[in-house]
Amino acid sequence: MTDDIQGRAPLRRRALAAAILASGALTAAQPAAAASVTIGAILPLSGLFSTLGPPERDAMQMSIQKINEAGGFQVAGQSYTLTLKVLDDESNAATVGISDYRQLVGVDHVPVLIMTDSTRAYASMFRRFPVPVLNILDSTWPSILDVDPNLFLLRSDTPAYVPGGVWYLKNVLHADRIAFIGSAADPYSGGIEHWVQQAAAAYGVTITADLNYPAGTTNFSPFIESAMAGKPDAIYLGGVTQEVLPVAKQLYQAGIRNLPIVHDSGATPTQAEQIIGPSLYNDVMANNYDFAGTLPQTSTSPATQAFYKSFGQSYNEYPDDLTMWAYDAPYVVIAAMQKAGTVTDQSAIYKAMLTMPVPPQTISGWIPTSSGALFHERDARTLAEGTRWCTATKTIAPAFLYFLDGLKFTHQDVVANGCAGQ
Amino acid sequence: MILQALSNGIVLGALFALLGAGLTLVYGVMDIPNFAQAGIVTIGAYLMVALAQGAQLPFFLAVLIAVAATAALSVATERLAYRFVRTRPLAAPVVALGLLLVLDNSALEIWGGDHISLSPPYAASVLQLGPITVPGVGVAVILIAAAALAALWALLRHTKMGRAIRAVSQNPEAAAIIGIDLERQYINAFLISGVLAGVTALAYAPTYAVFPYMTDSVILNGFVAVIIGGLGNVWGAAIAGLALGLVESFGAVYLSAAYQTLIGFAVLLAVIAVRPGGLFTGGARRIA
Repeated sequence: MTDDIQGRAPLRRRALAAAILASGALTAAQPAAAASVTIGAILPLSGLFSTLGPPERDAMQMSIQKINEAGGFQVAGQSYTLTLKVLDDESNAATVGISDYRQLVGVDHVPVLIMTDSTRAYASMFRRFPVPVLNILDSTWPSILDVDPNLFLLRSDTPAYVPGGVWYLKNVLHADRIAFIGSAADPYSGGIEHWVQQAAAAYGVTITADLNYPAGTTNFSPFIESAMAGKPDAIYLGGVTQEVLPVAKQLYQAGIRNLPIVHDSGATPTQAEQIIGPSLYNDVMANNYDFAGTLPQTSTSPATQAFYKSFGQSYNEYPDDLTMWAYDAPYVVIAAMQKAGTVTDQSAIYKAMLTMPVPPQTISGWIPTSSGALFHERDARTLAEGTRWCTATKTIAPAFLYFLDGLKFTHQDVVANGCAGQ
Repeated sequence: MILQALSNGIVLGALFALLGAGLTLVYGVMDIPNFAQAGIVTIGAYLMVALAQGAQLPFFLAVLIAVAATAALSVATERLAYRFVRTRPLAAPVVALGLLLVLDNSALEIWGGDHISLSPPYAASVLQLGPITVPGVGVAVILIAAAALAALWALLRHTKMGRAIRAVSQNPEAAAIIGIDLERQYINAFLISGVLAGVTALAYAPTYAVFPYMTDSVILNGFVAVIIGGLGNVWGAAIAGLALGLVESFGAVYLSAAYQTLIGFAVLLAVIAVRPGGLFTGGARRIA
């Protein structure tokens, strides 16, 4: 009996060994499945700022899909695919956004977080649950980079582009006297106001009126009246697109139609038509000049143009600058992980970000530091661009490309007749 | 400068008068601070955009349909919410604020948070009167408010419905004794208020932009006009609204534009301190 058992036992072991070998051979015949790395994003997908979140999410998903379809990426010899977990802050950073942060960083332990707006609301969370954070949008002054050392900004900060608008007014449009109208409740507008003042002093421009309307203002007549009392040569508007364009519209409706209107909103033609109205926007925008980061629409880079067209075809809306930065964010994360040699060690990834070069697959046109790093003290910078409105084509064209070191230009290219190229 | 401030003040005041008349009509009949009126104005503006610029209907046909819809929506707020708190005055403001949240967030859910424009045919027009410039949309605010308030005056003064509303406002018990159907007058008051909300949307929306919370701040000026004019007094609210617009406009020019709204509330505090019942009350509440 024992012999039988012993005699049958080797047979069973051999059968088992054969099965294991067979399954091993089968496994070896297939490529090893890549592990998945999940990064987090907090975006306003609903609520008042829902105009921002969905295109940013779509752009990130677009580049992630491209990366994964090409086989993912390698870190320290191991293959990975990338997954994005997006949580909606419902345009309410102080409550829903904080809860999202706790989930993504405190519970899910994502190695990198991507955010877009209301950064200051998260200051206490940055301290409690530190993680490298890539911010796509928040270009206010004082800079959000002062809030926490783990923050990185994927766009040029306010001082990198606002002075260009004032210089252009003085030297190209020959406007020596400008009136400023901004939003008292918007820190972005406050930062613009500060840098308009600095640039005006440096370039010899007189500010004839400096006005800030309170939150909830919908009738700008008294501000327009006060601004015009100083007989300015141009009007500088502070604020984001949804603040700037209604003021531009009321200026036009008040009969002010020949003065240059300058702002830093990055407004697209689609937004202009939507906010000002289809019958009016081409006339209102006729004298508008917009100074911000470079736009995908006006870029001469083939890769950026390809993204511009591809995104427009996929999502039936043409991307603006922040959509372009969002598209590049996953490439920055992967490059940082590759440099750090880890997909989980937040501290190593953070250190890698500080010195990493510009990832070659990116399309934003970031200009590296003199030592070749992507981030200039945690701020990824592009050329700044002034655009002008082209009434014939109802679109925008480049007017001024520049790069600033403080208030001094290290690159200046005034585009004399950009609309002709449209 | 003075003439331009005067013209700006009249435009602003006409808007406040329109808002105040709609609010005080409901308050006069039911003692309800109808914050939901702001949400109904917003829905009206969105409907005008959707019908005129989305469905490509002729602009004034779109306006007519939207005004009918705001009237129906206003009556719905009375039937579905306010009538249950008619005898509970402390609950009414809470219900009103709750309705405002529901309406605002419904607009947000349906149309999103983007700012969009309502562009009437006169959006680009400018009226130049010597040194004074009045935007076409400002002229429209004045004309729309004048026409709406004249129609309201005629309705309240010369129709059976108007007399019944006034009677219920002055003494509901006595009105019931002489055979006036109170329930119907409550509905009528909300119906008229809803029409005024639609008309306000037509006047107000082209001056700025349409978005879910577009009326929430400006409605406060309507309430200031209601209180200064004497609660429930339609003409008091209209006159106070006009005066408030002028005070805010001149205050903005001669004090500071940044404190324009604050100036309005300072006037309110001053009036309450001197005449707690408002400027145009003779003791009894009334709609006239």
